[in-house]
Amino acid sequence: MGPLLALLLLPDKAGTFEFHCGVFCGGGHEEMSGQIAVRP
Amino acid sequence: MATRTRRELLQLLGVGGGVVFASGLAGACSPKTRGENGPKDDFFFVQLSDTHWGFKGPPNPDAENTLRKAVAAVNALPRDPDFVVFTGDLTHTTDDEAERRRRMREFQGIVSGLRVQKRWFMPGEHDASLDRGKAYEEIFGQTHYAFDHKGVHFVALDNVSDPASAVGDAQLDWLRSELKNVPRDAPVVIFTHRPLFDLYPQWDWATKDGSKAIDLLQGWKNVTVFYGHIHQEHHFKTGDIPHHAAKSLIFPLPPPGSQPKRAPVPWDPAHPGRGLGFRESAMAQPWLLTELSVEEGFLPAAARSG
Repeated sequence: MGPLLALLLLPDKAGTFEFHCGVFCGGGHEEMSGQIAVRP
Repeated sequence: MATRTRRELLQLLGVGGGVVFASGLAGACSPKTRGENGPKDDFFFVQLSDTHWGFKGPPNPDAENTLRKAVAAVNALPRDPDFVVFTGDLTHTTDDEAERRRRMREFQGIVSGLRVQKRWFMPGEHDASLDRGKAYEEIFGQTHYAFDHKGVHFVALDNVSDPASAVGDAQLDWLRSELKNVPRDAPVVIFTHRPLFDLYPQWDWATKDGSKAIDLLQGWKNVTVFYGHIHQEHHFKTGDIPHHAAKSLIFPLPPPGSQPKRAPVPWDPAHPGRGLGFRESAMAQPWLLTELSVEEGFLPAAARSG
């Protein structure tokens, strides 16, 4: 398992948003995607 | 874009076998279509891509042999290509710097068996993104360069050494300067790893500043881009510029956006090697492409005027 990183962002609407790793990070990079849930 | 089966093309040309060359197409390379600054001679080159040497896993249980088979297939072509180009991901990524170099040297040893006068290499993100091209440069040399061959100007562009998938302003400046003395009607070929256009950015099938490179190339009348990365044959045009993606020699990937995840197409024991192959590109206007597939023992699957 790689390092855990914190990401600061300021959402302007609620919902579920997909994200994909945009910087090649090694083996498994292709699977580096997920969802960010923004709840009101 | 016209697509013909190999059989149809051979019938059209009135020949029964062997490799189809652009010189066999009436008028395809005539002085009229070449222009004043056109190619001086007919030739073809072979594009191999995404060999991922060092990969092990269910998507290709024959990974130890696929590259060697491709080398043997190129050597068995009825006529030797003028050169072979590898459009990136020569090796599969590893965090171990010593292992990365070991894979590159093993790859180099295997492809040294190619019976061609010249081999051109370029990196993919698996080779170069984790160390910004350091190991690649030690073993293969520059990650971007240009050369001329029989009247065609070839440029290899690096869109992988930056892990954020950009060509970068410095390289764009180099490209601008590099093309400055190339006549506007001369044939220009660009080799890249990632697509320069936004094929499917969600799967990293794009180059962050690729549109800047494409805009820059618009000033030349006869530009063709050959790339890899997406592990499948794909053809697309931005304006007048055709972009041709080559098959991989490790595992195929699904069509862009056809499924939620960019997972390899599973190996099918009933059709080993399906979706893997390489390409011949014969000088013509447009280039005459012939796809050869692993599954069919590297017999030409189709010829395309693209």
